[in-house]
Amino acid sequence: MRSILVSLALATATALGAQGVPAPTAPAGAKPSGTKAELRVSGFMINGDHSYDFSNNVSTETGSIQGVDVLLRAAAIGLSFRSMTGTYGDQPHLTSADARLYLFPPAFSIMVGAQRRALWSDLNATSPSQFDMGLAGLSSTLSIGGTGLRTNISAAVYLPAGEIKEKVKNGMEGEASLLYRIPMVPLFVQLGYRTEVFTGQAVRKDQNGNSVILGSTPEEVRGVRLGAGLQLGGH
Amino acid sequence: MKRCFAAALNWALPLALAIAATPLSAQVKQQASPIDDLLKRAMDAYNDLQYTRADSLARQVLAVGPRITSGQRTQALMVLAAAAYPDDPNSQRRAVALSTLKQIVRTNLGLKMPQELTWAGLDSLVEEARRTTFGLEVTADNTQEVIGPQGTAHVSVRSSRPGTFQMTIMPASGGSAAVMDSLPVSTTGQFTFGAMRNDRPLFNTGEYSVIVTGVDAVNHDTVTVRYEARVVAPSLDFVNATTKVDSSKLLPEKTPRYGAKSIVPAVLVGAAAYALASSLRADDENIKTNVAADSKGVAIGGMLAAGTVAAGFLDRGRSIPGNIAANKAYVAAVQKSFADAQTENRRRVTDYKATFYFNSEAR
Repeated sequence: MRSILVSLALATATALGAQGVPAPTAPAGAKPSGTKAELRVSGFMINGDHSYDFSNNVSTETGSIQGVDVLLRAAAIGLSFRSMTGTYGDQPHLTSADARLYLFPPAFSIMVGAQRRALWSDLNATSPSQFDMGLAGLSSTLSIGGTGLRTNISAAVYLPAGEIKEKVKNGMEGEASLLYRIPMVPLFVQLGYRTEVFTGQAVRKDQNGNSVILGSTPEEVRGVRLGAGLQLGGH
Repeated sequence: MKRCFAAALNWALPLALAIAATPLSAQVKQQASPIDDLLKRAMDAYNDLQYTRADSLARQVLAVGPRITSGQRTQALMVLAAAAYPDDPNSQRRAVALSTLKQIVRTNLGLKMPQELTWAGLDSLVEEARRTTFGLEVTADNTQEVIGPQGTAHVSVRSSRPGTFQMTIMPASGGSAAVMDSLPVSTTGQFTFGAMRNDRPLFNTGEYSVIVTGVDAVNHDTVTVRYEARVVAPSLDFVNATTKVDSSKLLPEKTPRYGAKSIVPAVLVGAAAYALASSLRADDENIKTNVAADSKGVAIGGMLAAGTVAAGFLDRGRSIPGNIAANKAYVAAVQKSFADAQTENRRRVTDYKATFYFNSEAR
């Protein structure tokens, strides 16, 4: 039997030229995930009521508006298009379309744009009462951390525009909503509230070409906005 | 008598020639050793048939004790044995000679008497001593290089009779044995030992004592031989590898929780919804009078605010891809560093070399 017993005097390994690994360094401009560039295409519905005062007769009907909304945004500029049509009981149908330009980041943007608004009935579909106007307002979209939730608040005033500016007396719109982007898929849902107030005027041209205001029709449209759609980019 | 003279001539003539041919400085060096001088005088006395004087001079050498070398001791003992058993029957003291020869062959099994000291009768006595004594002979290559954990050095042992053997290598200055090994009952064997264990060197550079002990298997007669060895064994330094990720170095992979910061946007969006439902009205008193504010505004505003606050507190933060990539690269670098260090350390172990310089002269 052969055995080798070794003493405990073992050479101790010493640190020689310790090869430490440098700590990770954040790349320049390391930012949270997501991109500020964004494309959003959605369909929406506003369930609520439409009231107007025609010759001191107030009419209120419940109904809904359906529409589509397209938003294209970069970090400091954006563009959106919207079209919607609403039906409220026996009232004339309400259709509007607008295009808006957003300036500055989503957290606080100035928006300017143009809108055409039309009131029409099934019996008179081809010659609606049309109102052309400009838009100017503010918009703020804030992300709530990494939840995918965003708050959106926007408000705009309608500015008379078009050939007969007198047709638009005044108007405003406002919207407050939450947008939630579903994780892992490029879809989002929206819940909010929207109100539009608008006063259109009936105008006639006299012999000299001057505008004669025949009467005004104040109206308000408001309701709960529900939407859903595709979202690419953004955060 | 004639043989003695011839022997003396054989021994003295080359010595004289050698001395004549040796440079003066070397002669001074040689003469500087009184032990060698005593041995020479003892040999001279033996060759001059002055056995008593030869015996006396040899004993003087032995009396010096541990300061004499193994070779000087063996030579003195051989003169002693030869002086005790010359070819002159009247001067023979056989028991003394045999005892002295036994003393030599115990640690010098291959003893061969110099031509100038021996004769047939003494050779027979040497054989008898070898036959009746448990003797040991240890041999090893003077220089042995041992490379890596698998490399080995060898020390051979031979005995006149079957016995067990044990070898210990320990620092000459004392301390724990670096190597201990034993061999089973045999007349020959070889100790094999490495310079590493568990990939660590067993030796430090320095002087070591190689102690070989033989035990007669029958009568348990024990013989111990001690040699000197110098070991050149450089320290084995390892690259100190980073073995695990230092989490304190990692960059945050997510933004902080939104938490209470959500309260402000929650209040704003909730208040805005409420205001839109209750305060933003058509520019018409009739409508304001006839159409009430929308009661759903409170509920919707509350839902928006509550949802925003809840989301803020449930938030886990947004991932930061740049930091995630940097952390990933860091982890990969740590793993690579560890693998590289392991490879380098393995190479150092494999290439580790220790050199043993054995002094074949037993002490």
